This record gives sequence, C-alpha cells and structure tokens, in this order.
Amino acid sequence: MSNLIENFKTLKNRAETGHPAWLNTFQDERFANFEKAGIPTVKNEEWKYTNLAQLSKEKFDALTDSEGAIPEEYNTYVNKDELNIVFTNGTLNNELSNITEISGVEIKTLKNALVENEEEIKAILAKNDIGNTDAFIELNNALINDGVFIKAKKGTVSEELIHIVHLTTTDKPIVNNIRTIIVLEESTEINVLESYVAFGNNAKYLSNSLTDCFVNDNATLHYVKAQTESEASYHIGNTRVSVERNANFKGFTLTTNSGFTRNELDIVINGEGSDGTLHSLYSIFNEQHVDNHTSVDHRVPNCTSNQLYKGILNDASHAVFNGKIFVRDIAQQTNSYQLNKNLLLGKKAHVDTKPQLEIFADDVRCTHGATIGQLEEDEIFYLQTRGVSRKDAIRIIATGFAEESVEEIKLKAIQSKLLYLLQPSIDNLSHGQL
Amino acid sequence: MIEIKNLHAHVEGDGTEILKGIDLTINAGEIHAIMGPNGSGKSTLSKIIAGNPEYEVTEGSIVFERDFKKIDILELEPEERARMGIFMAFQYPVEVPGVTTSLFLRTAFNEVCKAHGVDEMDALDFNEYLKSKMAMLDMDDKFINRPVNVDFSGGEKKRNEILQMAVLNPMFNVLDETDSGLDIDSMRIVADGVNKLKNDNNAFLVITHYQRLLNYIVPDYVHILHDGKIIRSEGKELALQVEEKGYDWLLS
Amino acid sequence: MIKPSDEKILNEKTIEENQLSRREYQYGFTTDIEMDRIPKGLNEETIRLISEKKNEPEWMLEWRLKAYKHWLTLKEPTWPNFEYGPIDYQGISYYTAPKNKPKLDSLDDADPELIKTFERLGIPLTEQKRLAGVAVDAVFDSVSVGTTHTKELEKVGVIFCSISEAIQNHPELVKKYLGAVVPYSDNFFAALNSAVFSDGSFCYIPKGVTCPLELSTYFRINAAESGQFERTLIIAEEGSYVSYLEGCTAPMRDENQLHAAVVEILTLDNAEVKYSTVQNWYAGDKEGKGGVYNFVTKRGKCEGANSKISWTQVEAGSAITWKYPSVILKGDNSIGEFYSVALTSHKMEADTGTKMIHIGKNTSSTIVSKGISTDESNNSYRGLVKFLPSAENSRNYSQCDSMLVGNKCSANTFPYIEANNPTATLEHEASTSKINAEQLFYLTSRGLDLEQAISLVINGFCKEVFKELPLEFATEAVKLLEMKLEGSVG
Repeated sequence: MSNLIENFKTLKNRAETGHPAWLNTFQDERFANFEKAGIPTVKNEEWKYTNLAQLSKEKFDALTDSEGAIPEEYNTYVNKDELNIVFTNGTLNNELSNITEISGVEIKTLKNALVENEEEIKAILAKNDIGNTDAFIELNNALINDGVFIKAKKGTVSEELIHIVHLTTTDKPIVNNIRTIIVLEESTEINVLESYVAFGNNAKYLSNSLTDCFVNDNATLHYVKAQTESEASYHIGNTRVSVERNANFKGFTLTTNSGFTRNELDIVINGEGSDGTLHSLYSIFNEQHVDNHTSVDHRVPNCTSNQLYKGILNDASHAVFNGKIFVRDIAQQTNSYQLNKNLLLGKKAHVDTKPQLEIFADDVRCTHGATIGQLEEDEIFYLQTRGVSRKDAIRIIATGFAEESVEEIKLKAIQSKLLYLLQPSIDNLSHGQL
Repeated sequence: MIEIKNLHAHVEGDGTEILKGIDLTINAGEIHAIMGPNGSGKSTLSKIIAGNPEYEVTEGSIVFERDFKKIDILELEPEERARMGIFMAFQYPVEVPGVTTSLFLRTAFNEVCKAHGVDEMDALDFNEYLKSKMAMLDMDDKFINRPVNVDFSGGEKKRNEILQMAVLNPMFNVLDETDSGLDIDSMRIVADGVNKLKNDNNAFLVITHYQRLLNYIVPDYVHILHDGKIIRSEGKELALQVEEKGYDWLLS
Repeated sequence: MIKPSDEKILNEKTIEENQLSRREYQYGFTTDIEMDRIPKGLNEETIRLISEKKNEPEWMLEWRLKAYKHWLTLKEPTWPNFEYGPIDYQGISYYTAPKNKPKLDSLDDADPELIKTFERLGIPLTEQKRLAGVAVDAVFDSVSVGTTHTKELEKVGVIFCSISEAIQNHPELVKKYLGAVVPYSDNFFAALNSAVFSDGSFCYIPKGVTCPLELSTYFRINAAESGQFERTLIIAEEGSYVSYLEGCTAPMRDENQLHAAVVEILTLDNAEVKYSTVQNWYAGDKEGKGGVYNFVTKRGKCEGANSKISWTQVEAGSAITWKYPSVILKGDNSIGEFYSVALTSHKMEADTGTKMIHIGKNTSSTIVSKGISTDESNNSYRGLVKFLPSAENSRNYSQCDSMLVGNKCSANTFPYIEANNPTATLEHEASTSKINAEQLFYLTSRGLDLEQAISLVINGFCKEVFKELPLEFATEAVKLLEMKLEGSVG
C-alpha cells in the first residue's frame, strides 16, 4: 500500500465518531473502493497529463481547529451582508457565516443535514449513477468532514447569491474532504457560488471536494466554482450534475493563481429538452497546473450542451483539457458544442488538450474544437500605435479575452468577485515574456 | 395538366389513412390553392405528388400530361417525376453539407436536359445561366458556392427553392407551405419570384395554412382540405372567408 | 483502374454473396496456384529459413533475429475501443510464394494464373498491357512478382524494385535506411514485421530528380492461413519528388488474415513524397466473420529542411484497421499532411488517424479526416499533434468530420494535442453529420437518381481528401465508396 493511502487510512480511523451506523458502514465500503482503485498514475488514460507522483509522496494531517489570521483580501472578496456559509480550514466558521433565510430554500451544513434530513442524505449518498466514479470520489465519500446541503423547494425562484466559502488559513498540511449537495426541485432557479480561497497563504494542503447537483424538471441552476489557492496546495474537485426534463445547468469554473488543480465536471442529461452549459476560465502563471476534465453524457433526445473552456498561460504553467461528449444511440437531435481556446504566453508554458466525441446516434449535430495560439500581433501593434506599451497592450487584450468569459455569468455580484480573483494573474502578465 | 382521381394514402407501415379520396384537376395556366387546418393531409398530398417513399398510395391515380402523352406517375421514382417537369418546393428544405448549390443544380439541370434529349451545359455556361436566374430573384451570388441550404436563414432556404424552380423550369409546381415561418418581406420576395415564373404553359398548386400568401400569389381556385378530402372548391374569395371566419364553419 | 470482367467466379460462396447483395466484394476470388510455403509457426528457425530462401546477407539475418528477440519481450497491445479474438502467431505461415517466381525483367516465365490474377484486379503486368504512366510492383502473398517500367526509371536513376532485390543489389542503401524511421523496437507489430518481412517495395529517388512516373505497389494476400508482412522503404534525396500509390485486396475467407506492414519514408532537404493508399482488403461478412486485420505502421520523417511528406488514404476494407500514418517534422520549414477517408460497414472496426510530431522550426501540418460509419461498424479517429519546445512558430490545422448512416454504428474522435512551445498555433475542428433518406429524397425530387444523389453527398463530404488523390485513384475511390454504401442508405 502506498504511503498516502496508509496516511488516509490513519486519518479515517482518527476521524470523529458519533456517526450513525449506516454512515460508518458506507464509509468503510467507500474506503475499501478507494484502496482498490489506488492513486491513479499517468498510465491511466484519464490521468495521462496530470502526474500525481508528487502528491503520492506527501503526508497530510487531520483538520485542526480554526487558526491563522483572516487575510485582508478576504474582507474585500466576501460581502458580509450577503448570504455566506464560511468554512475555515474545513470547519464551519460561525462568526464569518451569515446564513440568512431565503424563502423556499433550505440551506444548512451537511453535519446538520445528517441529523435533520438523515433519510434524504442517506439516499443521495447511496446514488452512484451520477457521472464517473473515481478514486477521489470514493475518498471524499469515505472521509467527508462537512459541507453544505441546499434544497430549493418546488417553484422557488431566487436571484440572491448563495456563497459557500472554503478559506484556508492554517499552515498545517491538512486534508479537507468537502461535500456539497444541491437539490433543485421542479421549476426552481437559484445561484450558487462556491469559493476555494487561501489569499497569500503558502501552505501545502489537499482539498478533495465533491459537489453533487440534482436539477429537476424545469429548474435552472447557476453554479460557479472559483479557486485561488496556495501555490503549494493540491485541489482535486469533482462536480457531478444530473439534469432532468426541460432543465438547465449553467456552470462556470474559474481557476486562477492556484497550485495543482484537477477539476472534473460530469453532466448527465437525463430529461428531454434540457441544456447543459459548462464554461470556464483558467488564468495561471509560475508553475501552476490546471487540469479540467469534462464529460457530457447525452442519454435522451432533443437536448443541447455547450462547453467553452478558455485559458491564459504565462511563465511555465501547464494546462490540460480533456472534454468528452458522449451521445447515446437514442439521443437523437442532440446539439452539442465544445471548444477549448488557449492563449499560450509563457516561454515554458504548455498545453495538452484532448477534446473527444463519442457518438452513437446519427441525427445529431456535434462540433468540437481546440485552439492554441498567441495574441494577434496586429492587435498588439494597433494598440502600440496609439501609444500603449507592448506589455500593457498584451495585458489589455488578454484581459478582454478573460472578461468576455466572466461577463456571461448571470449575477453581477459573482462577476465582480471573479474579476477580483483574476487580478493577480492579469498583473502577472506584465512581467511575462515579449 | 394533372388529374388526381380518388387518391387514398397512408404512411408506409402504418394503417392510418391520411388521404381519403382526393379528386383534383389542374390545367395549364392555372393556380390552385389548397388550404386546410393542421393535420388535414395538405403536406401529405404534396409529398405524394413528388414521390416521397414515406407514403403508400392504396387507391386512385395521379395522371400527368405532357406533350400530349398521359402517364400515371405513381409508379415513378421521384427523379423520373422531376425530369418530366414536376417540382415541389419543400416546406423544410433539406441541408446537404459539402455539396455546393451550383454543383447540385447543374447536376439536376443536366439530368433534365438529358431526359429531354437536350445538350447538357458545362460548368461555365451553367454558372452564367444560374446567375441570370439569381438576378431575377434578387439573390446574392454568394449562394452559388455555399453548400445547399447549410446555414441558410429560413427566408434564404425558401428563396433557394424558388431559384431551383426557376433553373429547372418545370411544368407543374407544388409549393408546400412555402410561406410558413417567413416574415412579410421574405414572403413578398418568394411570391414575386413565383409570379415572374408563372406563364400559360405551367401550373401551380399552392398549399398553405394562411390566406396571407394568396394576396400575393392570386389563385384561380381555392380548395379546402379536411380529414383527407376536399370538402369545398370555389374561387379566390373562399380564402378571404377562411381568413375571416376560420375553418370551423366549413367543417360543420 | 479497370474492373475485372464477369468471368467465372471461383468461390461458390462468392457467387451467393453476389446474388444476396449488390455490395459485393469483387476482389473476393482466390487464385489456384502452386505455392512454395514454409510450415506454420514462428521461431528462430523460421526466420533463418525465410532469410535463407531469400539468399540474404548475414547482416540482414542478424537484424531480423535482433528484431525477433525484441518482439519476444513485447506484449500484444490491447485497444480501448474494440476487442478482437486472440491471434495465434504459431498458426500463421510466414512465407508463402508462388512457385515459378518470375525473374527480373521477364514476366514471361511467370505462372499465367498469376498474371491473370493481377489482370482481374486491374493491374496488368505484361509489357503489352501495362499501365501507362504508372510503374507497378506487384506483391503476391509474401513476395514481389514483378515490377514494371524499371528500365525507364533507371534512365533517370530512380531505383524501384522489390525490397528483396534491393537487399541484393543495393545493400549499402538498405543497410543505411532500413529501420531509420521505424526501428524494429518501435511497437509489437513493427517488431514482428522486422523479424519476418518477406517482401515489399524499395524506392530511391536521387538528388534533384522528379520521378517521371507514379510508382505503385499492389498487394494481394491469396493463401489461407498466411500473413502478409511487407516492408516498404522510400528515400527521397535532396530536391527530389515522387508520388507513390498503394492498393490492396484479399480473397474472402472465413478465417482472419493478418497484415502487419511497415512503411518508412525519408525526405532530405527540399524533397517531397506523396503517398496514396486505397485499402480494400476483405472486410469480413455481415456477421463479422473473416476479414483482414490491418495493423500497419506507416511513418515518414522530414529529415531535411523544406521537405514534405503527404499521406492520403482511402480505407474501405479490413475487418479491423489500426493505422496511423505519421510524420516526424524534423527539418525546419518541413510540411506534413494527412488526408483520410475511412468507411466502415458491417461489423468493421477502424481506428485510424495520424501523428504529427513537430520538432523543427516553422514546421506545419494539416490533418483532414473523414469517417463514414454504416451498419454496426465503429469508426474512430485517433491522432496526436505534438509541438516540441524546439518547434518555434509551428502550425497545425486539423479537421475531423464524421458521418453516421443508421443507428447501430458509432463515430468517435480522439485528438491528442500537446503544445510545448508558446509560439505554436493550432486549430482543431470536428463535426458529425448525417446522410439520410430525407436528404436523398430532396435530391432525387430534383431529378438526380439515387446513385448520383449518394455520390454527390459522399463527394461533398470527402472532397478535401479526394482532391489530394491522383486522378485515377480518386475515381476508383469514389466508386468503391458508392458500392459499399449502397444498401446502407435509403
């Protein structure tokens, strides 16, 4: 057994007791699955371009009580008047949280939900037909420490931002297994932002998060995940979404100025007339690594899906995109689109991209594409002739490339937060190449 | 020119009868309109005339007369009908990726030439011919080298149908709900095209749900189709009555 | 190419098949001919025997044995998107040759059956009938049976002969270049080929020469329970040009036949090689019984600056095709191209694509792949575009389109793109579309007959590839696809 698996086993045994018996059994099974799967290597096609060899050598600690000061940036980033559920170092921070009520939406920590909605949570945890399973999903199930449960009751439409914040302030190498469950009943619409932030903390830690979204008939979920973490950190995030009849999932992932990130977003389209939109922006520098995996599984006819992943890579950063569109034989009239666009600016930056189509139905329209390129010299020159320095010109054009993406997000409150997180990577462009 | 007698038909492999005995005679120089509520069998009739294999004719005949010869066309393949001079403008023109409009129309045009013992046209001459037809319909040259109907707007697709009509110069034309989904400007362009093409030697069957189109393409006769049968035939005034009162008064 | 006339068909089963379906495999006949064949099985002795039969020099035997020893250490690859029954490497005869093998320059001594066979395939070999403008090397089972136009080529210094002859007559060239692009250690099937290859074509274009003829090799597997392991080597010296064609057929047999070829191309400064293939090996019947396993390694290396290698392929046969003609773009400003049409029907499996490895500065590559899947077949594009850190200002454009006919087939696209240089530019596009009854009705309602309609749609879909083929090949390719598609559409 590898050291890391041994390490996790110890953490599991040390984890707090007081769980109901079914949960202990469930977690034991899941841990056994994790052990069986093991830490993936680059021989595994899904991990070809993301090497976990370094992670395998690390040793992690259990969660510690909140410690470390709250950074200055936090107060700029989080608006304390909004609805915030804040975890510091994996534990709910009551002081920073502001769990106001939204009528028709149930919002609580997973710990509370395990008591108050035990049967419901039990049923959700038992579901295993949503998207892929992999070692880290099993690990999350086996080691869940806390998280959030959100349920929009039938007919509820809310424009209010629900902000879940995972802030890391400790310098201990903790491992944080966060679980978020979002359930949208029929004809509902809500906006959720999940932020993973460390603001200047340089600690080595592992976030292994799992978010499950159930978007039922005629509902729309706007879900944004934003990440700015420690450069020494590891983030492995799985998001699984099931979309039912006439429902919409509008997802956005921002990764900027983080360490080693792997994000997997799997959408299963289960009901006719529905749409899945997955947009993303990654803007990275130094030796940061971002791996985005997506999978859209069209299981029924007459649905659409749309993926646009855009990246800006400076210095020696590395981005991976692996997108799958899977159209089952009965999924006729599917209209599916996927594009990965990369701006490769750093001299040692590199990109590995693999947009894939697997199609079993004949009456469909699927297109995918990938581009890798630099900024247009014409555009840079044009700005220079107007008196802008070359570096500023590059920064301005790249900012445009980035902001265009962010502006598609519905809530302005989320847009401004993402632009704030983006700033350091944009500033970094001025000391890049060229 | 065309004589439809006691036409019965159903969907291939499905027993439900859609046409239940249609009788209709159209002479050269005439414009006939068929109106009717949704599901009355209007589009089925046009598809059967063109020879769509999705429908099976169980009874009756469609006799087409050309050069003093009368032929029952029901046994003929779609292309044989087309070469004889029967043309249908599709309600939903089909996209054919990779095949340019000019190549498609030249192939079709030369097939018609061959069938009538006329010399085929080479690519250069044909493009000139095509451009002259496009100019007549006020169409942009850019369509020539674009794949057939791919990424065309609704109006462009319908105009492309009329262009094909102009190029192939058929005798009997069926317009299957050509007005559906068109804004008023696009409809006017389509109607103008039809009016330019109309002469004493050809005939039109205009199938529509709305009277609007018939203000621009004025019919000699209007037939109301209901439940697979023609229940009323009169002059163009009938269309106005339908516009005013709907179909219900005709059905009772 | 000329189609065989309606002469007596030798195989009873073939007749039945022809009556059942218009989509006959017209090359499914077998030739009754006296064969010299070594016993089935593979061991060091087999290799010594092959080498001895070919009267090879010692260095050649040693190379084969090294390859064989390496092969023993390799594991047969498995493939993510399909499975096939185990191949019994001991159940294959590795050398099968017609007796009375004709001598060079004289096909008169050849078995008349053999000459007839190639005539039926549309490849006349005799002096009177041979194709004008195309020099042909005909490979029957394990050996080359004749090469036409050699004298004309000699005048300009082009060497075009079977690789066996090249080993005898031009050992210095073979020794220098064999394995230079595809080393014997490259992969399982390349290692096997290196150990047992029996024949193939050799082609050398000297400095500054534009080859006056199209060169072509025609491969025919005839014997049962044999494999074909040919090896082709093309060397284009500075400033030279050649266009090379390859055609393949095999009889209908119930058991699978293995075809594991290796093709190596090397271009020096300013040289260009254009390699075109129309592959129509027997694909098995409707139930997926029989057919050729087509596991080949094709690779070109643009060694010199400003050189160019272009692969064009029409893949319409084989039960399983597993083939990735690749280009290593080492010379600065070199160009690699891959144009492919792959059509699968019945239960065929095609997994094909290319690798473009950009090493030199300002290198560029173009990939255009068109897959058509029908019946219950499975058609995948798999490709790699890689920019190494040294590949400054390099470009790639890829386009992969699939067309599905029916609902039991599948089309997959797996492009791998690895960019390690910030000045690289890459664009990849892929799409799927369909050919359906509605489309065909629309076209026929304008006066086109069904055949014209299908041909128009297929031509439209594949035109970027067909325009890369030499004219006769393009016509043949279109006919081949139409024939295979009829019955699947409509």
